[in-house]
Amino acid sequence: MRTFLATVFIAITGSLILWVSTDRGRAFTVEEARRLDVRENPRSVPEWHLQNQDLETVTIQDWHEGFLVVDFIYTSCPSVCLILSSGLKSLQKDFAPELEKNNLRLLSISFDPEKDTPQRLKEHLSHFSANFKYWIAARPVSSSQKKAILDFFKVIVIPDEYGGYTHSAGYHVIDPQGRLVAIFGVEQLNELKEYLTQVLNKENDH
Amino acid sequence: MIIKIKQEWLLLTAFVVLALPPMQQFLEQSMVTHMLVQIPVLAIIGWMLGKKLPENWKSKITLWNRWGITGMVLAVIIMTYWMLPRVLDAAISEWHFELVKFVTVPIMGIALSLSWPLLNPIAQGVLKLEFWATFMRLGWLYLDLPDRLCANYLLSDQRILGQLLLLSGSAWAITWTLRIMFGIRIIKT
Amino acid sequence: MSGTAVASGKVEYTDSENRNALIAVKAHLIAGLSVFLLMMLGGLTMRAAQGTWIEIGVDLFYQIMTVHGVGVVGAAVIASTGVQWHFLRKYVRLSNAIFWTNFFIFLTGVVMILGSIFLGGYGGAWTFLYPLPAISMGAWSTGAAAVFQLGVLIIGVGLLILYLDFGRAILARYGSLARALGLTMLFGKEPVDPAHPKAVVASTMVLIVNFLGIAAGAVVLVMGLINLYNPEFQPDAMLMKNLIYFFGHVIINATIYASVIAVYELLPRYTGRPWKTNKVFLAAWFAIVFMVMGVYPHHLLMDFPMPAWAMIAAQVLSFGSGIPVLVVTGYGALMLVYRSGIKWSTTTKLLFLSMFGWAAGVIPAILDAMVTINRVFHNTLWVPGHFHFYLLLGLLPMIIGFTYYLAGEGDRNEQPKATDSLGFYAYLIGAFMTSMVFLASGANSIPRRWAVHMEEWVTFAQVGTIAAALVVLGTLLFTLRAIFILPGAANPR
Repeated sequence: MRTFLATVFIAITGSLILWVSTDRGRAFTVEEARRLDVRENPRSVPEWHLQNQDLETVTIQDWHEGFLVVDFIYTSCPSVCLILSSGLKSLQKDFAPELEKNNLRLLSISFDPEKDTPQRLKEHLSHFSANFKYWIAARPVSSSQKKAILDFFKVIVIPDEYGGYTHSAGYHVIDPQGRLVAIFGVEQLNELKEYLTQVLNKENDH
Repeated sequence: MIIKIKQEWLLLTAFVVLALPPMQQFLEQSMVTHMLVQIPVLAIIGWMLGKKLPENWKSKITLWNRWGITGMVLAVIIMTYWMLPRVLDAAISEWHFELVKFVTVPIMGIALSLSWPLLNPIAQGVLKLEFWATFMRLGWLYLDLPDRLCANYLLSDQRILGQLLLLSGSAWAITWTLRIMFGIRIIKT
Repeated sequence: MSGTAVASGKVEYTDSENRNALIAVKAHLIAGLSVFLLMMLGGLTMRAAQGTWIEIGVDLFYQIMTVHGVGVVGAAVIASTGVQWHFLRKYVRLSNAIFWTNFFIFLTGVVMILGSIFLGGYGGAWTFLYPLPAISMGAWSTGAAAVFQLGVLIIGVGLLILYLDFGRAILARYGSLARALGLTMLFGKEPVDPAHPKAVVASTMVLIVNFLGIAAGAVVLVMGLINLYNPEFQPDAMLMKNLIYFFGHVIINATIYASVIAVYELLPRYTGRPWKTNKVFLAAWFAIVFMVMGVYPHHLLMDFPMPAWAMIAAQVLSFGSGIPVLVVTGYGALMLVYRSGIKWSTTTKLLFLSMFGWAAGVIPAILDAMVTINRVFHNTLWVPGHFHFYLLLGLLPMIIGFTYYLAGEGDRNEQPKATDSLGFYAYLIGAFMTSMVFLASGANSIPRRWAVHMEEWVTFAQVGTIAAALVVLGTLLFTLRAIFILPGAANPR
C-alpha cells in the first residue's frame, strides 16, 4: 500500500514536471521553446545601438512604422546564413509594395562584429541584391551589446570545427509596437510569408 | 604499502572532481562526453553510493519500495527528463539546472541500485529491452535528423553520438545473445 | 551430466494451477477462433465488393483490409501461443499469471487498433509502411495512425513479457538456449536424447526469432511515431521497410512453427507410436532459426534499391526454408501414420491436412521468392494466394485440430458428427479454392490491394467470394463447436 502510494505520487509529480518542462508537451528543444515563448509572451525590444553598412548608428526602436524581420548572420558563413539571406531576398521581392509603403523592413544583424566591418556587411547585402533603403545589415557596437542582443533573442552561437559558427537560425518578427512577436525557423519561409501577409493586411485595414 | 581508503571517500572525490568547473566545462563541451561520460558516471556514483547505504536505511526505504517499483518509476522519470534536449541545453547555460543535474542523476543511480535487484526478472527483461531499443532509436534519430536538437552542440557532434549509441547498442545485443544462447558471460553481473 | 534424466521429467503443477491453465488456453483458442471468423467475414466482404455483388465505400474497404490483416496476424499469434504454451508448460515451469497478463495486454491492444481503424478511419494496411501512415490525404488523422501503431507496440510488449517467461523457464531447466535447442546434442557434446521434448525445441526457436522480431518492431514502431509527430525526421524508407517486414514476417511465420507443436504432441498419441527426437530433427530446427529470420526479403524483391546480395540471399533462404522442417515433420508424420491403424477423427484429419497445406504452400512461396518472377508478381494477388494457402491450409488446421482434441474428441473415441464432417469439407474445399483463385488471379496479373476491380477481373473475385463463403461456413461450424463444447471440456487424459 505504501509502495503503491509512493509510486503514484512519484509518477504523477514526475509526469507533471515533464509536462511543465516541455511547455505542456509542445516544446522539447530550446529552439521550439523560444519560438513558443515569444508567440505567447511578446517581449519589448530594448534600445540597442547598431552600426549599419553605411557606418551610421541605428537602433531597432528607431523604426516604428511597420514590421521588422530580423535574421542573425556572420558574413563568412558558408551555409545557413546564406539560406536566411536568400529568404530575406525573396521577402524583398514578394513584399515590394509593402516595403514601399514603409510597412516592412528587413534587418540582418551580424554576431561577428570583429570580422564583419561595414564594408563587408555592404558586400554581403549586395550579394543578395539588397535595396539598402529597405534592407540593412548592422553589427553591435560593443561586445556587451552583442551579448545583450543575443540573450534577448535567445540566439545561441557556438564555434564550429571550421573556424566559423553554428547558431540558432531563424526569422525574428518585430511588430510596430517594437515587440518581438514571432520566430520562424529557416525551413518555415512559407509560414513566415503567410504570417506577414496576414498581419500586414490587418495593419492596412486600420 | 597499501593505504586503505574507504570507498565512500573515493565516491565523494569522484563527485567533487566531476563538479570542478574545468572538468565540468571539459565534459560538457561535447554532446558525446556530456551524455556518455558525465551523466553515466554521475549515475554510477549514485549506484555505488546506493550499495553503501546503511542496512537500516535500506530496509526502511524498502517498505516504500516493494518489488522495487517506486524506485524504478523514479529512475525512469529522471532518465526521461534528462533525455529532453532543452533540459540538457539548460544545464549548460543556467547554473541551477546544472545543480539539479548533479543532484537528480546520482539519485537516479541510488534508486536504480536499491530497486533493480528487487525487481521481477520479467520486468527487468522488459526494461532491458526498452533501454536497448532507446539506444537504437536515439542513435538512429541523431544520425538522421537534419537539425540539431541541442542549441549548444554541433550537428557533427550529434552524428558521432548517434553512431556511438548504435555501436554500443549492437555490442550490448551481442553480449546478451552470447549469454542466453550459449551461457557465455563476458561481464559478470 | 544429468541432462537426460532432467529432460524427460515433466513439471508438476497443483490441481488448481492446472485448472486455471486449461481455462487460459481455452480462452486463447476461443478468442483466436472468433477473431479468425470475424476476419474471414471481412475477407468475404472484400471479395464480394470486388466481385460487384455488394457495394461498400472505398474508405471502408481499406479499413476492412487493414483490420483483416492485423486481425488475422493477431488471431494467429494468440491462438498459436495458446497451443504452444499448453504443451511447453509440461516440460518447463511456466507462470499462469504471465500467460493471462499477455492475454489482457493483447486485448487492450486490440481495442486500440479497432478504435484507430473504425473510429479514427486508419486504413493504411496493417504493415503501417512508412511514410504512408503520415500521408493519409485526409482519410485518417495523425492520431489514428499513432494509436494503431501504439496498439501494435503494446501487443508486442505483452508478447515480450510472455517470451521472457518462456526464456526464464527454459534457461532454468536447460541452462542455455543452445542446449534447449539441442545444439549440444547436435554437435556431439552430449548424447542424443530421443525424448528431448520437441515442444521445447520448437518453443526455443520461436522464442529466439520472435524476441528479435519484437526488438526490431519496438525500434521501428517508435521511429514511425516520431515521424508522425516530427515530420522533419525522415528515416531511410528502405531500412524502415526491412525492419517492419522483419518484425511482421517473423511474427506471422513463427505462428506456424509454434502450432506445429500440436502435430508433434498429438499424432504420436493418436497413432500410438513414439516420435523420437534425432539429429536430423535438431539440425532442421537449428536451420529454421536463421531461415525464419532471413526469408522476409522475398516480400521486398521488387524493391530495386535493395542490395543484390540481400535479394540473392533471400531467394536462396526462401528456397531452402521450406525444406528442413517439411522433410522432418512431413516425412515424420507420414511415417507415424503409415499402417498405424489410426482412426480418422476430425482432429487427425485436420492435423494431417495441415501437413499437406504446409508442404504444398511451399510451391507458391518458392515461385514468389524467385527474383525474376517476383518483379512482376509481387503486387498481384499471387502474394495473398501465398499467405492464404499457408494460413488457411497449414496454420488453421493445426489450431482447429488442437481445439478438437481439447474439446475431448480424442478421449471419447467418438465418430465425427455430420456437422463436423460438413464443416471439414466445406472448409477444405473453400480454403483450397480461395487460395487457388488468388493464385490464378495473380497469374493473370490482377493487382492486390485494389478496392475496385476492372470488369475482366470480376469473375475471379466472384469465384473467390463463393470460396470465401465456404471457408466462413466451415469456420463457423468449427468456432460454434469450440464455443459451446470447449468451455466444459475436461483436460484430455
